[in-house]
Amino acid sequence: MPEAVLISYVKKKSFFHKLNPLTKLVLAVCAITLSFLLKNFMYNLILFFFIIPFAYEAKLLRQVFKPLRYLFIIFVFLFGIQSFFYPFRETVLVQLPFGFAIWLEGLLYAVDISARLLVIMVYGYLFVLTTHPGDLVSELKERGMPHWLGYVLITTLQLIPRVTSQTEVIIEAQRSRGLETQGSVIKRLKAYTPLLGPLFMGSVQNAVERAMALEARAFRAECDKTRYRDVKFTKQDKLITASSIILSIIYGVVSWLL
Amino acid sequence: MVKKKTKKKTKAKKGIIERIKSEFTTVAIVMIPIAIGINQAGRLIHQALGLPIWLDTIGTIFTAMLCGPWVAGVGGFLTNVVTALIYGRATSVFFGTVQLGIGMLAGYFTYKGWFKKWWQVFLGGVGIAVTAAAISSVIVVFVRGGVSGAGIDLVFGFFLAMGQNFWTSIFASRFLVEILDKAVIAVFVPWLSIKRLPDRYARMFKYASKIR
Repeated sequence: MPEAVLISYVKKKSFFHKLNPLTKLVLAVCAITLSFLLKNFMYNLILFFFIIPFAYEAKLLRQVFKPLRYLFIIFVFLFGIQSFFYPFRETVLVQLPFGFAIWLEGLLYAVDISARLLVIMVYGYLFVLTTHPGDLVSELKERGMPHWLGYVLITTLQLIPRVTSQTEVIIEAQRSRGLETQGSVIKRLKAYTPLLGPLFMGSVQNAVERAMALEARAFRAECDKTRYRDVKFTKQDKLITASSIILSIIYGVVSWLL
Repeated sequence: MVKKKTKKKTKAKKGIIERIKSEFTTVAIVMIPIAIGINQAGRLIHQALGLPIWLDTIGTIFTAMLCGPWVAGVGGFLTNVVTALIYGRATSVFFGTVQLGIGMLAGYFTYKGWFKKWWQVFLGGVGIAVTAAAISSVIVVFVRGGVSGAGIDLVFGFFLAMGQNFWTSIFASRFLVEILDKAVIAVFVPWLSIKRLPDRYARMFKYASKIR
């Protein structure tokens, strides 16, 4: 059975893809930090549209906006709740029957938050789309991240699908033995132990076996480890890292001065 | 009195790095990805049973009871880092602090040996629920303006409409959700499983003996 690995990395040939993972991480972190520090939502919206040249270069213009679908529900609730019940309300925008009203401050707050969310989501997603997790871990290890942490990050990506399918098997198996997963609340509460118990037991067994296998291969040995993926930090990376930090500081300062 | 306290602190500080290091045995390290997997798989069971019990921290709490606070804290935080890496939802990294708090608290309770009787486990679950609600309220306001895009928002809106204070409403709505999850299922089932763990496996984990 082929091992499924869960990643949203999309392989494309572009300048952006070829950049060092750390460079892209710095870019994303800069944008996300900026989104919290900018003065108002207009600057965040400009930052949001600034993703377009990057995404176009990476040939992922359409994919990069996919998380917006997930944000839509949040926006509905955000505007619904904050424009009616924002605690620091003062100005009535629209008076509605039954004493309800849409408040200007609440609406502005919701717009502020949603502009920030747009920036965070899009830049985070572009990073994930263009960076293979293996490259990222390889680069971080080069920079002094402990060896075991790299192991944990990479193994998790393989283990999640496996644990998930194991859980599906347990659910089916217990159902076929007559476990009731529908019906009254008490009945359903009783179903947790037979479902989770085997999952825990199986995972402990799995952990012990894996640990033995790792130790047999000198996992704890303190020496230089070889790696499969090799990543380079070029001059372009230096230039882009430095300029993205400097530009975001300038942009942040400008937003407060103007 | 004051002198005594500082003395104690320095003593603890010297040992603490050693203690953290000693917690990260190979089995403990291997448990981290598995715990993250369980956290993710919890969602499946949640869907199968359809009760408002999320189970998305159950792997973290299980690890806390087996491997202690530091391993569980790291595992909990990484759960959200990995979700961010897989689905590209950068906001989930911020919520990693909730998992970090839950893992460290559950691990601390285990370390102190407070998870021996069932009522202690229940109280611990309530404590974890309060902590989780407190941290997640702050984060959810900070990152998403207090909204999570689920049924809990209606509860939050209801409290606000009743004229409650902003922070009271958000904390109360979060606590209502957490208490069902943490005090009922997410602490008890891992605890029962560890009690029934065969000896040859339990011996591999440093903290399992504090529970059994």
